[in-house]
Amino acid sequence: MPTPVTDSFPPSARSWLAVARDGSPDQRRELAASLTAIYRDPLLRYLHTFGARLDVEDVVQDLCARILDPGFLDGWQRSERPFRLWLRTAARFELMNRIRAERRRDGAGDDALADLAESDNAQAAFERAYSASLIRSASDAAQRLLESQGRGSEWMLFIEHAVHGKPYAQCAPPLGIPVDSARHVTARVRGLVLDALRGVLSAERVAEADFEQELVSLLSHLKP
Amino acid sequence: MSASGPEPESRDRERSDAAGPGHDAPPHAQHGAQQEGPSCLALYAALLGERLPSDLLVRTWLASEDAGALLSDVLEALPQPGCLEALERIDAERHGPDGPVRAEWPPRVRVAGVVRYVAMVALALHEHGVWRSSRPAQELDPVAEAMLPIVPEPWKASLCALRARAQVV
Repeated sequence: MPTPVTDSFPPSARSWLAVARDGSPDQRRELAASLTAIYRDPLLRYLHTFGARLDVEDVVQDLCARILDPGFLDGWQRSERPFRLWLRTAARFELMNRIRAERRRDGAGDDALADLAESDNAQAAFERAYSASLIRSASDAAQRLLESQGRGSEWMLFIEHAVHGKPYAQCAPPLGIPVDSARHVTARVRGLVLDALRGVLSAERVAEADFEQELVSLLSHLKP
Repeated sequence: MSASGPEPESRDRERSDAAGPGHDAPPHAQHGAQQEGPSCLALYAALLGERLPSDLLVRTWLASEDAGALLSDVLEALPQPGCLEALERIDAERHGPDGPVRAEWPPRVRVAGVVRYVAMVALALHEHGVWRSSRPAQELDPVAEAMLPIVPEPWKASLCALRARAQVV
Protein backbone atom coordinates (compact mmCIF):
# COMPACT_ATOMS: atom_id res chain seq x y z
CA MET A 1 0.00 0.00 0.00
CA PRO A 2 1.54 3.34 -0.98
CA THR A 3 2.47 5.79 1.73
CA PRO A 4 -0.02 8.68 1.81
CA VAL A 5 1.44 12.09 1.15
CA THR A 6 1.51 13.98 4.43
CA ASP A 7 1.39 17.68 4.98
CA SER A 8 4.34 18.11 7.26
CA PHE A 9 7.13 20.46 6.35
CA PRO A 10 10.68 19.83 7.51
CA PRO A 11 10.62 21.60 10.87
CA SER A 12 14.30 22.15 11.60
CA ALA A 13 17.81 20.92 10.98
CA ARG A 14 17.82 19.18 14.35
CA SER A 15 14.79 17.11 13.44
CA TRP A 16 16.33 16.25 10.06
CA LEU A 17 19.23 14.63 11.87
CA ALA A 18 16.94 12.79 14.28
CA VAL A 19 14.88 11.39 11.42
CA ALA A 20 17.98 10.51 9.42
CA ARG A 21 19.40 8.51 12.33
CA ASP A 22 16.36 7.04 14.06
CA GLY A 23 13.33 7.74 11.90
CA SER A 24 11.03 5.08 10.49
CA PRO A 25 11.24 4.32 6.76
CA ASP A 26 8.07 6.36 6.23
CA GLN A 27 9.46 9.32 8.15
CA ARG A 28 12.70 9.16 6.23
CA ARG A 29 10.90 8.92 2.91
CA GLU A 30 8.67 11.85 3.80
CA LEU A 31 11.57 14.05 4.88
CA ALA A 32 13.63 13.15 1.83
CA ALA A 33 10.66 14.10 -0.37
CA SER A 34 10.26 17.44 1.42
CA LEU A 35 13.93 18.32 1.06
CA THR A 36 14.05 17.15 -2.53
CA ALA A 37 11.08 19.41 -3.32
CA ILE A 38 13.09 22.39 -2.12
CA TYR A 39 16.60 21.66 -3.33
CA ARG A 40 16.23 19.57 -6.50
CA ASP A 41 15.34 22.40 -8.87
CA PRO A 42 18.08 24.81 -7.66
CA LEU A 43 20.67 22.05 -8.03
CA LEU A 44 19.48 21.25 -11.53
CA ARG A 45 19.64 24.85 -12.63
CA TYR A 46 23.06 25.24 -11.06
CA LEU A 47 24.51 22.20 -12.82
CA HIS A 48 22.95 23.20 -16.14
CA THR A 49 25.10 26.34 -16.11
CA PHE A 50 28.25 24.22 -16.46
CA GLY A 51 27.11 23.09 -19.88
CA ALA A 52 28.32 19.52 -19.32
CA ARG A 53 27.16 16.90 -21.78
CA LEU A 54 26.32 14.56 -18.92
CA ASP A 55 22.79 14.02 -17.70
CA VAL A 56 22.65 16.46 -14.77
CA GLU A 57 19.22 15.16 -13.80
CA ASP A 58 20.86 11.86 -13.03
CA VAL A 59 23.51 13.59 -10.89
CA VAL A 60 20.89 15.45 -8.87
CA GLN A 61 18.69 12.37 -8.58
CA ASP A 62 21.57 10.42 -7.03
CA LEU A 63 22.41 13.25 -4.68
CA CYS A 64 18.80 13.59 -3.52
CA ALA A 65 18.67 9.83 -2.93
CA ARG A 66 21.55 10.23 -0.47
CA ILE A 67 20.29 13.42 1.13
CA LEU A 68 19.55 11.66 4.46
CA ASP A 69 22.74 9.61 4.56
CA PRO A 70 23.93 10.16 8.17
CA GLY A 71 27.52 10.49 6.96
CA PHE A 72 26.48 13.19 4.53
CA LEU A 73 24.53 15.11 7.17
CA ASP A 74 27.32 14.72 9.73
CA GLY A 75 29.77 16.18 7.24
CA TRP A 76 27.44 19.10 6.67
CA GLN A 77 27.10 19.71 10.43
CA ARG A 78 30.87 19.75 10.87
CA SER A 79 31.24 22.18 7.99
CA GLU A 80 29.00 24.77 9.69
CA ARG A 81 27.88 25.87 6.26
CA PRO A 82 24.34 26.61 5.06
CA PHE A 83 22.76 23.37 3.82
CA ARG A 84 22.16 24.61 0.30
CA LEU A 85 25.83 25.56 -0.16
CA TRP A 86 26.87 22.14 1.11
CA LEU A 87 24.51 20.48 -1.36
CA ARG A 88 25.64 22.74 -4.18
CA THR A 89 29.26 21.88 -3.64
CA ALA A 90 28.39 18.20 -3.37
CA ALA A 91 26.56 18.38 -6.69
CA ARG A 92 29.50 20.06 -8.36
CA PHE A 93 31.93 17.47 -7.01
CA GLU A 94 29.67 14.67 -8.20
CA LEU A 95 29.51 16.21 -11.66
CA MET A 96 33.31 16.51 -11.75
CA ASN A 97 33.72 12.89 -10.70
CA ARG A 98 31.42 11.70 -13.43
CA ILE A 99 33.19 13.77 -16.05
CA ARG A 100 36.51 12.32 -14.88
CA ALA A 101 35.16 8.80 -15.06
CA GLU A 102 33.82 9.38 -18.55
CA ARG A 103 37.15 10.76 -19.71
CA ARG A 104 38.98 7.79 -18.31
CA ARG A 105 36.67 5.49 -20.20
CA ASP A 106 37.33 7.48 -23.36
CA GLY A 107 41.09 7.48 -22.69
CA ALA A 108 41.15 11.29 -22.51
CA GLY A 109 43.23 13.40 -20.08
CA ASP A 110 42.00 14.07 -16.57
CA ASP A 111 41.56 17.84 -16.84
CA ALA A 112 37.95 17.97 -15.77
CA LEU A 113 38.61 20.48 -13.03
CA ALA A 114 39.84 23.07 -15.47
CA ASP A 115 36.77 22.55 -17.63
CA LEU A 116 34.35 23.01 -14.76
CA ALA A 117 34.94 26.63 -13.90
CA GLU A 118 31.84 28.12 -12.36
CA SER A 119 30.29 30.75 -14.59
CA ASP A 120 29.30 34.13 -13.18
CA ASN A 121 25.62 33.33 -13.37
CA ALA A 122 25.80 29.87 -11.78
CA GLN A 123 25.30 30.99 -8.21
CA ALA A 124 22.66 33.53 -9.19
CA ALA A 125 20.69 30.86 -11.06
CA PHE A 126 20.93 28.61 -8.01
CA GLU A 127 19.84 31.27 -5.53
CA ARG A 128 16.96 32.38 -7.71
CA ALA A 129 15.65 28.85 -8.07
CA TYR A 130 16.18 28.19 -4.35
CA SER A 131 14.19 31.30 -3.41
CA ALA A 132 11.33 30.19 -5.63
CA SER A 133 11.21 26.53 -4.58
CA LEU A 134 11.50 27.39 -0.89
CA ILE A 135 8.50 29.72 -0.81
CA ARG A 136 6.55 27.45 -3.12
CA SER A 137 7.14 24.44 -0.86
CA ALA A 138 6.29 26.38 2.29
CA SER A 139 3.10 27.83 0.87
CA ASP A 140 2.03 24.48 -0.63
CA ALA A 141 2.51 22.82 2.75
CA ALA A 142 0.50 25.52 4.54
CA GLN A 143 -2.27 25.29 1.95
CA ARG A 144 -2.45 21.48 2.19
CA LEU A 145 -2.50 21.62 5.96
CA LEU A 146 -5.40 24.08 6.01
CA GLU A 147 -7.32 22.16 3.37
CA SER A 148 -6.87 18.90 5.27
CA GLN A 149 -8.48 20.61 8.26
CA GLY A 150 -11.38 21.90 6.21
CA ARG A 151 -10.04 25.46 6.38
CA GLY A 152 -9.18 25.96 2.71
CA SER A 153 -11.13 29.22 2.68
CA GLU A 154 -8.54 30.70 5.08
CA TRP A 155 -5.81 30.06 2.55
CA MET A 156 -7.92 31.65 -0.16
CA LEU A 157 -8.50 34.71 2.02
CA PHE A 158 -4.75 35.06 2.56
CA ILE A 159 -4.13 34.93 -1.19
CA GLU A 160 -6.95 37.33 -2.05
CA HIS A 161 -6.01 39.91 0.58
CA ALA A 162 -2.28 39.66 1.23
CA VAL A 163 -1.19 38.67 -2.28
CA HIS A 164 -3.80 40.27 -4.52
CA GLY A 165 -4.42 43.24 -2.24
CA LYS A 166 -8.21 42.99 -2.14
CA PRO A 167 -9.93 44.59 0.86
CA TYR A 168 -11.43 42.25 3.47
CA ALA A 169 -14.90 43.64 2.87
CA GLN A 170 -14.69 42.42 -0.71
CA CYS A 171 -13.01 39.03 -0.33
CA ALA A 172 -13.97 37.69 3.12
CA PRO A 173 -17.82 37.42 2.89
CA PRO A 174 -17.87 35.27 -0.26
CA LEU A 175 -15.54 32.86 1.54
CA GLY A 176 -17.84 32.66 4.55
CA ILE A 177 -15.41 34.52 6.79
CA PRO A 178 -16.71 37.46 8.86
CA VAL A 179 -14.92 40.71 8.00
CA ASP A 180 -14.29 41.26 11.72
CA SER A 181 -12.18 38.14 12.04
CA ALA A 182 -10.53 38.30 8.60
CA ARG A 183 -7.45 40.11 9.87
CA HIS A 184 -6.77 37.43 12.46
CA VAL A 185 -7.29 34.66 9.92
CA THR A 186 -4.80 36.23 7.52
CA ALA A 187 -2.26 36.70 10.31
CA ARG A 188 -2.62 33.04 11.30
CA VAL A 189 -2.05 31.82 7.75
CA ARG A 190 0.93 34.11 7.37
CA GLY A 191 2.31 32.65 10.61
CA LEU A 192 1.94 29.11 9.24
CA VAL A 193 3.97 29.93 6.15
CA LEU A 194 6.59 31.79 8.17
CA ASP A 195 6.97 28.84 10.55
CA ALA A 196 7.50 26.52 7.61
CA LEU A 197 10.19 28.85 6.27
CA ARG A 198 11.84 29.15 9.68
CA GLY A 199 12.41 25.41 9.82
CA VAL A 200 14.39 25.33 6.61
CA LEU A 201 16.16 28.63 7.22
CA SER A 202 17.52 27.28 10.51
CA ALA A 203 19.40 24.71 8.42
CA GLU A 204 20.60 27.57 6.28
CA ARG A 205 22.17 29.10 9.38
CA VAL A 206 19.85 32.09 9.42
CA ALA A 207 19.53 33.48 12.96
CA GLU A 208 16.06 34.48 14.17
CA ALA A 209 17.19 38.09 14.38
CA ASP A 210 18.11 37.99 10.68
CA PHE A 211 14.95 36.22 9.54
CA GLU A 212 13.18 39.21 8.01
CA GLN A 213 16.33 40.42 6.31
CA GLU A 214 16.74 36.94 4.83
CA LEU A 215 13.22 37.09 3.41
CA VAL A 216 14.04 40.42 1.77
CA SER A 217 17.18 38.85 0.37
CA LEU A 218 15.29 35.83 -0.98
CA LEU A 219 12.73 38.14 -2.55
CA SER A 220 15.45 40.23 -4.15
CA HIS A 221 16.71 37.15 -6.02
CA LEU A 222 13.32 36.96 -7.71
CA LYS A 223 12.66 40.60 -8.45
CA PRO A 224 12.03 41.46 -12.06
CA MET B 1 32.02 12.28 -3.87
CA SER B 2 32.57 10.48 -0.60
CA ALA B 3 29.70 9.66 1.72
CA SER B 4 30.91 12.32 4.14
CA GLY B 5 30.30 15.03 1.56
CA PRO B 6 32.40 17.67 -0.11
CA GLU B 7 35.17 19.76 1.32
CA PRO B 8 34.27 23.37 2.02
CA GLU B 9 34.77 25.47 -1.05
CA SER B 10 35.95 28.94 -0.19
CA ARG B 11 35.17 30.29 -3.64
CA ASP B 12 31.48 29.74 -2.98
CA ARG B 13 31.71 32.17 -0.12
CA GLU B 14 33.91 34.69 -1.79
CA ARG B 15 32.03 35.09 -5.01
CA SER B 16 29.24 37.57 -5.14
CA ASP B 17 26.16 37.15 -7.28
CA ALA B 18 26.93 40.35 -9.09
CA ALA B 19 25.64 39.04 -12.38
CA GLY B 20 22.06 39.42 -11.18
CA PRO B 21 19.13 37.03 -11.29
CA GLY B 22 18.66 35.09 -14.48
CA HIS B 23 21.66 36.66 -16.16
CA ASP B 24 22.67 34.52 -19.09
CA ALA B 25 20.82 31.60 -17.57
CA PRO B 26 19.35 28.81 -19.68
CA PRO B 27 15.83 29.67 -20.84
CA HIS B 28 14.14 27.38 -18.34
CA ALA B 29 16.02 29.09 -15.51
CA GLN B 30 14.32 32.39 -16.16
CA HIS B 31 10.82 31.27 -15.33
CA GLY B 32 11.35 31.00 -11.58
CA ALA B 33 8.80 33.59 -10.60
CA GLN B 34 6.35 32.95 -13.41
CA GLN B 35 4.39 29.92 -12.38
CA GLU B 36 0.71 29.23 -12.06
CA GLY B 37 -1.03 30.64 -9.01
CA PRO B 38 0.44 33.41 -6.92
CA SER B 39 3.99 34.20 -7.91
CA CYS B 40 6.80 33.43 -5.53
CA LEU B 41 7.67 37.10 -5.52
CA ALA B 42 4.15 38.06 -4.42
CA LEU B 43 4.17 35.42 -1.68
CA TYR B 44 7.39 36.79 -0.18
CA ALA B 45 5.97 40.30 -0.39
CA ALA B 46 2.79 39.13 1.38
CA LEU B 47 4.85 37.64 4.21
CA LEU B 48 6.89 40.78 4.68
CA GLY B 49 3.89 43.12 4.52
CA GLU B 50 4.69 46.59 5.76
CA ARG B 51 8.30 45.66 6.40
CA LEU B 52 8.95 45.31 2.70
CA PRO B 53 11.13 48.17 1.40
CA SER B 54 9.17 50.50 -0.89
CA ASP B 55 11.42 49.80 -3.86
CA LEU B 56 10.79 46.05 -3.66
CA LEU B 57 7.12 46.55 -2.92
CA VAL B 58 6.68 48.67 -6.04
CA ARG B 59 8.75 46.36 -8.22
CA THR B 60 6.78 43.37 -7.00
CA TRP B 61 3.46 45.02 -7.66
CA LEU B 62 4.45 46.32 -11.04
CA ALA B 63 5.37 42.76 -12.03
CA SER B 64 1.92 41.48 -11.09
CA GLU B 65 -1.23 41.14 -13.16
CA ASP B 66 -2.66 44.17 -11.38
CA ALA B 67 0.07 46.47 -12.65
CA GLY B 68 -1.75 47.74 -15.74
CA ALA B 69 -4.90 48.66 -13.84
CA LEU B 70 -2.94 50.30 -11.04
CA LEU B 71 -0.90 52.42 -13.43
CA SER B 72 -4.00 53.47 -15.34
CA ASP B 73 -5.71 54.52 -12.12
CA VAL B 74 -2.73 56.52 -10.97
CA LEU B 75 -1.74 58.13 -14.25
CA GLU B 76 -5.30 59.09 -15.17
CA ALA B 77 -5.40 61.18 -12.01
CA LEU B 78 -2.31 63.09 -13.07
CA PRO B 79 -1.70 65.70 -15.73
CA GLN B 80 -0.41 64.17 -18.93
CA PRO B 81 2.89 65.18 -20.54
CA GLY B 82 2.36 68.18 -22.76
CA CYS B 83 -0.54 69.52 -20.72
CA LEU B 84 1.08 72.06 -18.49
CA GLU B 85 -0.50 72.01 -15.07
CA ALA B 86 0.20 74.19 -12.08
CA LEU B 87 2.97 72.18 -10.49
CA GLU B 88 2.66 74.27 -7.37
CA ARG B 89 -0.69 72.60 -6.84
CA ILE B 90 0.79 69.16 -7.36
CA ASP B 91 3.64 69.99 -5.07
CA ALA B 92 1.16 71.05 -2.41
CA GLU B 93 -0.87 67.89 -2.94
CA ARG B 94 2.01 65.66 -2.15
CA HIS B 95 1.98 66.96 1.35
CA GLY B 96 -1.72 66.15 1.67
CA PRO B 97 -3.47 62.84 2.29
CA ASP B 98 -2.26 61.37 -1.01
CA GLY B 99 1.22 62.77 -0.72
CA PRO B 100 4.06 61.13 1.15
CA VAL B 101 3.86 57.37 1.30
CA ARG B 102 3.26 55.98 4.75
CA ALA B 103 4.34 52.57 5.93
CA GLU B 104 1.01 51.80 7.56
CA TRP B 105 -0.93 52.14 4.33
CA PRO B 106 -2.10 48.92 2.61
CA PRO B 107 0.26 47.64 -0.09
CA ARG B 108 -1.76 48.84 -3.05
CA VAL B 109 -2.09 52.33 -1.63
CA ARG B 110 1.62 52.47 -0.85
CA VAL B 111 2.41 51.39 -4.40
CA ALA B 112 -0.03 53.89 -5.83
CA GLY B 113 1.50 56.64 -3.71
CA VAL B 114 5.03 55.87 -4.86
CA VAL B 115 4.03 55.52 -8.50
CA ARG B 116 2.13 58.80 -8.36
CA TYR B 117 5.07 60.57 -6.79
CA VAL B 118 7.54 59.19 -9.32
CA ALA B 119 5.23 60.16 -12.16
CA MET B 120 4.89 63.71 -10.85
CA VAL B 121 8.64 64.10 -10.48
CA ALA B 122 9.16 62.74 -13.96
CA LEU B 123 6.61 65.14 -15.44
CA ALA B 124 8.11 68.11 -13.69
CA LEU B 125 11.62 67.23 -14.75
CA HIS B 126 10.51 66.59 -18.30
CA GLU B 127 8.60 69.83 -18.72
CA HIS B 128 10.37 72.22 -16.39
CA GLY B 129 13.74 70.68 -15.72
CA VAL B 130 13.31 71.12 -11.98
CA TRP B 131 11.42 69.54 -9.12
CA ARG B 132 11.53 70.74 -5.58
CA SER B 133 12.01 67.48 -3.79
CA SER B 134 13.71 66.40 -0.64
CA ARG B 135 14.16 62.94 -2.11
CA PRO B 136 17.13 62.43 -4.41
CA ALA B 137 16.39 61.44 -7.97
CA GLN B 138 18.54 58.34 -7.48
CA GLU B 139 16.05 57.08 -4.92
CA LEU B 140 13.25 57.28 -7.47
CA ASP B 141 15.18 55.72 -10.32
CA PRO B 142 14.47 52.04 -9.45
CA VAL B 143 10.75 52.74 -9.43
CA ALA B 144 10.91 54.66 -12.70
CA GLU B 145 12.85 51.76 -14.18
CA ALA B 146 10.20 49.26 -13.08
CA MET B 147 7.40 51.44 -14.44
CA LEU B 148 8.98 52.15 -17.79
CA PRO B 149 8.03 48.92 -19.63
CA ILE B 150 4.33 49.19 -18.79
CA VAL B 151 3.41 52.87 -18.77
CA PRO B 152 1.42 54.33 -21.69
CA GLU B 153 3.55 55.85 -24.44
CA PRO B 154 3.03 59.53 -23.46
CA TRP B 155 4.62 58.89 -20.06
CA LYS B 156 7.75 57.17 -21.31
CA ALA B 157 9.67 60.33 -22.19
CA SER B 158 8.99 61.75 -18.75
CA LEU B 159 10.21 58.65 -16.98
CA CYS B 160 13.28 58.50 -19.20
CA ALA B 161 13.99 62.11 -18.25
CA LEU B 162 13.88 61.11 -14.59
CA ARG B 163 16.13 58.14 -15.19
CA ALA B 164 18.63 60.25 -17.12
CA ARG B 165 18.63 62.76 -14.31
CA ALA B 166 19.04 60.04 -11.70
CA GLN B 167 22.17 58.79 -13.40
CA VAL B 168 23.88 62.17 -13.21
CA VAL B 169 25.60 62.10 -9.85
